[in-house]
Amino acid sequence: MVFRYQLGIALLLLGGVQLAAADTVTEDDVKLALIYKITRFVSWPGASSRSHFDLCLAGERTYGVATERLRGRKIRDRDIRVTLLARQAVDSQTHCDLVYVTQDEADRTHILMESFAGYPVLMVSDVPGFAEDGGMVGLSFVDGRVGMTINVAAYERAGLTIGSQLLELAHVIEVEQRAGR
Amino acid sequence: MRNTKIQQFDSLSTGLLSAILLFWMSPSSASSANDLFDLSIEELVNLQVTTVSRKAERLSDTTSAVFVITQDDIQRHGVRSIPDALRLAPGLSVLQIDANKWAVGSRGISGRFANKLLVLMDGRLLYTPSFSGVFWDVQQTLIEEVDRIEIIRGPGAVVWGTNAVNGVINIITKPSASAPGGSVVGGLDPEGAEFLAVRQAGHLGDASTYRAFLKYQSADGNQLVGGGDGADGWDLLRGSFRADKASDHSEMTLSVEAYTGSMGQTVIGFDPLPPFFDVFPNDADVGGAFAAANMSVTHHNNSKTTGQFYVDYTTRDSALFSEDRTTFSFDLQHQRSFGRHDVVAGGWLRFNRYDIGGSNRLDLLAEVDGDRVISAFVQDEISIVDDALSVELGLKIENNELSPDDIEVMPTARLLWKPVEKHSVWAAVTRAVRTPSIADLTAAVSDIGIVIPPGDPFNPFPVPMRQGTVGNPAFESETNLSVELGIRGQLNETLSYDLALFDMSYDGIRSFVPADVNCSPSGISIAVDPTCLFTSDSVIARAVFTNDNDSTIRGGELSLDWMPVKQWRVRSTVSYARERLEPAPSTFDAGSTYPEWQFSLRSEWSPTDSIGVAAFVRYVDEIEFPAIDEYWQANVNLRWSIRDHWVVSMGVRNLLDDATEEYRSELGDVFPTEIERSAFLNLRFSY
Repeated sequence: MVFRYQLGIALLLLGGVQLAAADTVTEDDVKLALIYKITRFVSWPGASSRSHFDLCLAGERTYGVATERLRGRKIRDRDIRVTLLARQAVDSQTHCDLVYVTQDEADRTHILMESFAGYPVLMVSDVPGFAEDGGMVGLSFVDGRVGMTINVAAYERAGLTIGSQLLELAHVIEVEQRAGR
Repeated sequence: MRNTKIQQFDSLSTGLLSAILLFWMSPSSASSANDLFDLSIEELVNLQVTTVSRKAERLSDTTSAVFVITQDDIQRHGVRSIPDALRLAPGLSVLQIDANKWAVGSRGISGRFANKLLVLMDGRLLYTPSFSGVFWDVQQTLIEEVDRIEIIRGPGAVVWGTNAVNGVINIITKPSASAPGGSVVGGLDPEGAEFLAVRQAGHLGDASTYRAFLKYQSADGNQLVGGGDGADGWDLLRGSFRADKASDHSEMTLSVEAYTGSMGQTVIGFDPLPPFFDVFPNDADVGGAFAAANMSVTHHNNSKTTGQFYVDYTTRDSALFSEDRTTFSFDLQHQRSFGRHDVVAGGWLRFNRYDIGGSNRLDLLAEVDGDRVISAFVQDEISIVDDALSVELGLKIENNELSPDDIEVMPTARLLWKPVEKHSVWAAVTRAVRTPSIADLTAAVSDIGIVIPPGDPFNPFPVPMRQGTVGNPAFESETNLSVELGIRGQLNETLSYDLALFDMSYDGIRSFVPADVNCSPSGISIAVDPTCLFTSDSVIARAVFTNDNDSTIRGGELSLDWMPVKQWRVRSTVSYARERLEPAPSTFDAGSTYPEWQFSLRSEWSPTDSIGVAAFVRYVDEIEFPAIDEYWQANVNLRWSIRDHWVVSMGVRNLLDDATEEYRSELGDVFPTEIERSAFLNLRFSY
């Protein structure tokens, strides 16, 4: 299901989520909200029979805030389950719909990219240069400005589709020849 | 080896996102992190607005009556021309005169030469300063290239300058990186315009992209109102090239476009034998070209400088007049935030060079070969209570060589108040000005409207009496003071609303005061030698343009947007505008020139992602002058995307009536034709 041209769906899906606390907004909050929004424009191949949307997180320090912010929310009508990809061992059998690699764990980027290569998994990261290096969606936060960089070839290789409305908001990158490594 | 090509960096969108995020990040904000999840990317993308203050804003935060028509709206409804797209907006009146002429007006003032509505495309003025109106026939870009059309009802004078009195229409085209690859688009429409276009877009080096298109359109034309061949067929060939270059802190766009074509029409002329007029076909030759460079730089302190330079050439040779005009325009502006202040300041300099020729119906009393407009503005948006109350103050000063003694001063004060979450109230007071056109100052036109036959109580002469107008070198700018009030917001997750009310007072708007009666063809004044009547086939009674009328237009517009389920969206608009003219003693009120009530309803249904079914119904109230009946009209469209390569769009326009007379040119120069029901098929193949 491609959500392009669907207007205002957020309004429909987001009824009545109001937490009371007037808490401080951090960079992590902004990125999590953005990731949550991004999923609306991504389509994964085939229908999933799973009841959860698996958001796998490589970033121990973000795990707490991610579980809190995403609690009770749904992506593609499925409850979000946040799974921490522990440093010790990445089990390639772990089911993920989306992998978010935080800057704190930048050193794991390539390992994670390789372990999920060929699977329909959306790879998102705020590691600088992530999309340029073959990742799918890179997030940046410079001078108070959030930015998205999307690598078309990378998500297409994984069999994913990204709606044009999201692409219009982002740097779009076409990597014609991947860096050999 | 890495070869990375950045196709696009839409800093406007990113700027908008960051503006919103900055707002959320601000420590004094009482908002919760969870509120971030209530912002929709799509909503933001679609509702970004640059027109109101020449910087990106959220629609819900604008202090004007703004409506945005997106490319999605255009595609869903199978819209093929810009005037057709404008029908989707509230407050505007879009009336077609013949196959290639439209009268587009806003808030109570319309006409083929609607002189109080400013129209721009990518910052380039489409408004014709010589005849104060827009020649919509040649404003036909590839419709797929339109990103969005932002419409402000009411004055936009501070930012956009003179002639932005009743509205501003800003047509914004897509950056070249938005759809790389090639496409072929064709449209079949036996009763309307058919077209074929090829488009190609791709990279130019590492950081640049381009798009080019070639489009040919042609139309057979309609039947005259009352029967007969309308001879209003037309054709237009257009070629366009655009290149964009973006880096992290700057963007540059270069565009070049040229077009040539022919616009058919049936011209009305005087005939000495009853019924004292005759019609004959005439083709207007049209052409034009422009080159534009736009640059925008974001500085380290997050301030932004944008500049534009363009040269625009247009040529038009018709039975009424001929004009060759070259415009040179330089525009520079800077935006910066200081604490609670967000300031935009800028100015422009514009030169026009004209070569205007009259005809047997239009005489130019003085030769005008050029003019110069210089303009400067400053606008400050002051946040008083974070996210609850802000004030906007602006001032524009402009001087136009056509009225050299007038320094036009156009201030505005605007207020935005958000009493509760998701609802905002705005109010504005603005002074706006419409500057005299060359036609107002120097043109003498014979035969406007109908000829009064001899024997008619209004004709004291034994020969037919024709009516004409004569320009007035002392004609001054028309001024307007408008007071606006608006409220908009979301009632629940599915329903949002936008209501605007206005009161616009005009001072010294154009009036027609009887000037002289001359024998024709001799041209001798009856006052000088009444015996000239014996050698005349007619007399021409001329009225001179003066600034003697005052007027008030009051009204409002309501838009509702309801999305009960994600596959179905319904939008409706109701518009009302009522003019109360206070005519000068020697002049008269001919009656309403604008449809007082207008209503529209559109339904957009997407049973699947690749299929869209849209219907659009509209009601247009009667007009007293020229006398046009009220009517209902409807369009339907089915759009189907087939595996990314093909898009098929088919529909019927003007479903409810096989032929409608929508409007007549207020100048009485061309005969109206029937706007016909038409079935159309558009095909797009992308590769």
